[in-house]
Amino acid sequence: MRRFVLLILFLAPTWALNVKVQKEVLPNGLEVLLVPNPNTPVMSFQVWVRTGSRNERPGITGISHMLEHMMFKGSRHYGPEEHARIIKENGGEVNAFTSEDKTVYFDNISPGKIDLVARLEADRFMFAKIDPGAFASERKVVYEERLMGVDNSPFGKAFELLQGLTFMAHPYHWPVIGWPSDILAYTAEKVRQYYEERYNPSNVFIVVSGGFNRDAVVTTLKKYFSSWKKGPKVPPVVTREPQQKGPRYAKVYMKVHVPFLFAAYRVPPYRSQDIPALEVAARILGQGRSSRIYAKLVEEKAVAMQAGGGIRPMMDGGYFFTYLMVNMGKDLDEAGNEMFSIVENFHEGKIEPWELEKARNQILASMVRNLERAFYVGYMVGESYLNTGDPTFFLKRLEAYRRITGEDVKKAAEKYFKFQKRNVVYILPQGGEK
Amino acid sequence: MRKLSFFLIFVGFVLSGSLQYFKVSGIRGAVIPRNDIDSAVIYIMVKGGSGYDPAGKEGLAELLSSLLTKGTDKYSAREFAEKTETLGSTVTAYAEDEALYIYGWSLKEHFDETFSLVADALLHPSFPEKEIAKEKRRLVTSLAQKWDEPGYLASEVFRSKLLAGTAFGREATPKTVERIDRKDLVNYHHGFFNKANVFVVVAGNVSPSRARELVKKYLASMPSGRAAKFLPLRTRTLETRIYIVDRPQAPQTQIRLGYLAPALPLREMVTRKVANYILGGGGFSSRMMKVIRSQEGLTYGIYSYFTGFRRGDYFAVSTFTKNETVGKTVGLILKLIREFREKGATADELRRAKGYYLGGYPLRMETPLDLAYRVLNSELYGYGRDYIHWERKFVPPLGLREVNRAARRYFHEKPVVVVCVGPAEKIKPQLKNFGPLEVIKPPRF
Repeated sequence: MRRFVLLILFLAPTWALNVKVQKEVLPNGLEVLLVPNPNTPVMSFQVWVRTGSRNERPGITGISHMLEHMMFKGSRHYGPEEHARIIKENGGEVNAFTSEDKTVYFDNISPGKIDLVARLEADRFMFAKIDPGAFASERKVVYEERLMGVDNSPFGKAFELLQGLTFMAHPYHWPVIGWPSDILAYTAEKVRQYYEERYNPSNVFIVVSGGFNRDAVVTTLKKYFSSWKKGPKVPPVVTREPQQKGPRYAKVYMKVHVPFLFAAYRVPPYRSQDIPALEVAARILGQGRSSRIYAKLVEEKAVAMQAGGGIRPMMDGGYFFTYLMVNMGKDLDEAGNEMFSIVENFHEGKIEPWELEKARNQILASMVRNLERAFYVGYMVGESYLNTGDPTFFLKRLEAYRRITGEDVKKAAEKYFKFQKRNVVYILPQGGEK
Repeated sequence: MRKLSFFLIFVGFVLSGSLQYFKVSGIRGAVIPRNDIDSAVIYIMVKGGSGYDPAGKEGLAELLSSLLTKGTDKYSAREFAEKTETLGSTVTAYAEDEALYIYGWSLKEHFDETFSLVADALLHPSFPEKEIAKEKRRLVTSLAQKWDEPGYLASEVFRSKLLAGTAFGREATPKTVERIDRKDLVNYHHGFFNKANVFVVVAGNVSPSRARELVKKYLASMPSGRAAKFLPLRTRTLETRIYIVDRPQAPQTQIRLGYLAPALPLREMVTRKVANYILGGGGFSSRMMKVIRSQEGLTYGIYSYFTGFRRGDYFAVSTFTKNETVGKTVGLILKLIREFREKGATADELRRAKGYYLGGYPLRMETPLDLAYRVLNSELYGYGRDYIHWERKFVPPLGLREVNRAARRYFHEKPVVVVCVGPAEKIKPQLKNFGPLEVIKPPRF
């Protein structure tokens, strides 16, 4: 059994964050990351599966998310939704989410419930039912979820289109929830096959964070998860997104009063050394009322109701996104061009020292705020581990943020925020098609 | 069970041992120190809110809250934003029905400065004409934009129909926002922002003595004044009405259903809350979720809740379904309410509900913001200090008899107000048997 302990303590007082991660590996290869914090009365138990929409293919888009739903529909010893009901009657929260890169199941609960949680999770990860009757009903639920979040929502529709436009070849092209025709096409058998291929100790790791007794957690996990059989790894995603040689635009006419646009510029993977500089650039450009985009378009020119941006790093490369909602009667094209000019010419101007300080302080503050909740501690550790193999990568990166100069930020912006790499979705009121 | 008790005691200790109420320079408040974390928060409630907007000038409280940080005697809007954001702090103001709130969150080393910024925004907003014009434009656009989202539209129409004729049933529109001028903002600020009308909570990594010093240093100059009187609210829905907001091309229908209900003393409120958990508030543990989502596959989500005001509440069910199954979904909701009222809960359902509230007590108190918000709620609704530990005090002794009495008293399937946002042509025939029906057009801007 391998065991190591990482203790990260930054020396500068402002940047001091103390998160200790211990890693255990069960004989079947299941990795467990323990993040103790004796000061919290909450434990977050998270099961991370290394499969998401990037691991799908046309015809079964959304199947990772569909399986996530079916994981609540019963296992060998528990009936449909019984897992959720039991966690709730013990005062806990239970849920799951699927993204492009992963599927994560979590139970936030009092630490004394570790035996219960491990038993419930092991049962569904080893013996999920996925029966055709429950599947037929749950498929309708997922379809409703898609209607609510995408087809009946201007923002949802815009987001789906933006990602489709930004990635043409890579599986990030299709939505996590899947195309409607795929949702209606796959069968319970197909979902079961996906479960059997992917849900095994080679593709799963567990994160436990908060106030718990380490020995009790390790003993309990061994008790319930040791008999889980090893399996094949999820096949690697080989497709790489080709270089974008020119801007891409999409226009959609919907029943909206306020036209708006979403834009995206691709950025490198989460683990890339360029990400810290790009995140600082994104914050200077788009986070808060003093950011360049907001200050110019909302405050100074008063053409927009809302404008800004942020970065979304992902495993195979994510994107820097911006959004713009113009005030009634204002021209979206004109305001949009002004926003693109702010972004794409950012590398030419000077970055003020206070802007750098602001970005750094915002990054630290948001991390401190997240560390107040056991769930987010677990989430940050899990995200780091998934993307880099190092559970404390997010803390080590703080040092990179501290060292970044204005020149680093400009250089990164020049490389990625280019006219040729621009992707824009316009949502426009119906009737303006002609 | 021993472990659970330990954590209840732990949280109880954090609050009972550390929560201290104070009155400093005539200002009432509370401090909740937590020295195990690296941040602190100042959260101030000003009784007032959108319900107090003058007739014809709806939107005033919302506009005022957005302008608190857009220019003070000391800083311009831009300077205020730069100063706050450079610290990595957050200063946010917003208005609800019966109160306005402003809070500042920061790393512990920037707390004094963040506190001073919050105080500056609270006490010395300058309401520059240029900023007023900008914020009015933004507010009008944001109203239009929110109404483009069917879920938001359904909730707003439901509220306005249910609360029609009361102070809370009025809506801001471009016209009412346009009528607001600087004088209205200044008058509103003078009328409500006084020592008798505010309550201050400081939570996080700050000592009680330091918290009191900061209140004295930055807030003592607040004028004295009178506390706002709570507004009346009719507490009974008079007749069943169905409203369809017609969106001909919508692929799905948003549904809201409910009725007015009385405001209750804390103990009874908790009993009703537990009853509602069983019917529709308990996620996968609730009857509505079990039947309408899990068995029938009619929706992705459904929940019910009581919410409201100092003088009255309302009950609401919120869901959505495909256009073809709107009638079936509404029928099932009403049937579940009727069955619950007539037959009550089972002992097993009550056990599960009590377990949720009692066991989840620590989760609801995890951060300083959670704690601060609970203390402010207790103050706004006049629940007293028992509210801080309501789970521990009122849930354990609850029996089936009390819960089933609450089911009979506070749940009914008629009269109700139903609002559906979807294609009228498709959903109207499905709803005609539920009561008088009216099709209304979505608002235009």
